[in-house]
Amino acid sequence: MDFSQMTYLYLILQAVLLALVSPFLLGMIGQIRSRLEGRKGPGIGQVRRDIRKYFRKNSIAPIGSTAVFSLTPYVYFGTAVLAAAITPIFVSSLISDTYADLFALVGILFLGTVSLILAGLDTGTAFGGMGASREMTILALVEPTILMSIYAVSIPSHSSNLTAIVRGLLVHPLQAFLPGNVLALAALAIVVLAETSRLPIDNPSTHLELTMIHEAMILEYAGPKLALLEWASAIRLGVFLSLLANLFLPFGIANLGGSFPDILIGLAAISLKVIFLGAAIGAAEVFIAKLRLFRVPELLAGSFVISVLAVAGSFLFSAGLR
Amino acid sequence: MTGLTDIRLIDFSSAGLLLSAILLVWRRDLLAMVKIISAQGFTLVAIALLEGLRSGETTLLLVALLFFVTRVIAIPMALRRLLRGSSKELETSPLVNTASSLVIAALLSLLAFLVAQPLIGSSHSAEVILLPFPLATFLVALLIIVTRSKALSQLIGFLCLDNALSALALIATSGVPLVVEVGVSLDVLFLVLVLVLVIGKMQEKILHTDLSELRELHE
Repeated sequence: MDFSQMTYLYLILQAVLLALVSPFLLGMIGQIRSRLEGRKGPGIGQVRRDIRKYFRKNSIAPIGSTAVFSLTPYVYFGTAVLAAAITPIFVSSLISDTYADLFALVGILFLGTVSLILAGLDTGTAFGGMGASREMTILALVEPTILMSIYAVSIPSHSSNLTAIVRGLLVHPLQAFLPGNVLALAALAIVVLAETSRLPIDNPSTHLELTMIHEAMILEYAGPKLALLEWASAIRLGVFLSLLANLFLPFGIANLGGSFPDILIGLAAISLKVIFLGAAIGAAEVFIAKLRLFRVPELLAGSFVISVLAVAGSFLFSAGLR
Repeated sequence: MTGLTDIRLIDFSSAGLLLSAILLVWRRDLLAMVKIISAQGFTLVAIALLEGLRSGETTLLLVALLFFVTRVIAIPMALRRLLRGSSKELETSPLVNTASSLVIAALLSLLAFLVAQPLIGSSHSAEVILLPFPLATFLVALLIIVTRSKALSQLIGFLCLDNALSALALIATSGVPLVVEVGVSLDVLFLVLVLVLVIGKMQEKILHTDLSELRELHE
């Protein structure tokens, strides 16, 4: 097997592993939340059991819905898995591989969101359209923030290539604590909560029509297609959390084509980081309430301001230190 | 290497100064604003402390202690006591909506960064690259004072302004003489105490502290 085939094998392995593990991540967040609220909780395997159950059910499509509706689960799932492959999770790809670019990654993830929005509209129901319009609002507000924070993160390493950023941080770990980077982390954290439909932007555990966003768009799905959507949501959460962790503290990540122990260390490191982040989300969700929908733009505007400051700070300090 | 890590910590504190000013624009909850202003006081203490450790001047350490007593402990305590007394006014009512004032705050910060650029270029001191942060905090504090109508939130804006000025003095000139610093800090402290009394009386007599509605004198 030559080297390039080997690298693709690693990336596929990474995507498959994340896809298998991510339902448990979602289950863990739910379980931590239940325990902290004094409930027994369904156990960390509940999300996986739900997904398996949906796969056995029949799929139905609303009357009048088109191919957009039936293709969306595959697009959403496909983009999530592709993102899982190219994100540096426990192996980072080669610097020469131009696909591992932050802008490309964000584009891929947004493609999934946009397809979901279109599917929400395609059902022709009131809830689908409502959810789609809300998600579109949030997406439009999130995008500038995400671009600015990426810009801030990529200034110290002079590249938006994920591998270059991660390698740069591995060589100079202190770089992660530049004010520009810390501010970008704060802005990205808010964006990740918005994009993965967590509190305080969206509540994933309710179907209350006044507040739901993500759930409103997938309300008409049933059976295997719903299973794919739920699974893809879990994978996206895993991708976003690993990205957040590795853009700031990439310790332990293995080289592509690294030895077997390196890979094991990479796996252990990322599990630790993602479990920590997931636990933090689960614990934080106990204490916060969902924001009113009209307050959400304020929160996202705040994260935008922070990301603008991050860019300014990054320029300042990378110019000053050199 | 130690010099580098020192600067890194002071970078953090000055970024925290600006970040807390932005958070003040963001939050409406007055209790949260008091917490933020106390945290901002703490970043000021950190700047004074780090500056003192770097330059080896003991007066700066005393200044840090002074800041800690006034900005982190005494003033927030007085504000909190005032809030505990009034159950009605727990939220500010900004004249400009929060999203737009956040965007204005971002623009003001960028302006500060642009204005400070020539100053940074003209100096050899390593700390002077931090100049934009207190400058931006200053502008954002002015924004808070201008766009808030409640007396307490204006007072908080004023405190933010004062923190920014102290930080500016620390970063640009390694601090002013101790006597001046003591004078200014006590001034601010007494000003806040007096204003807290006045606001408390206002709440008792006229049941609100919306300054834009106080237009005429009553006997």
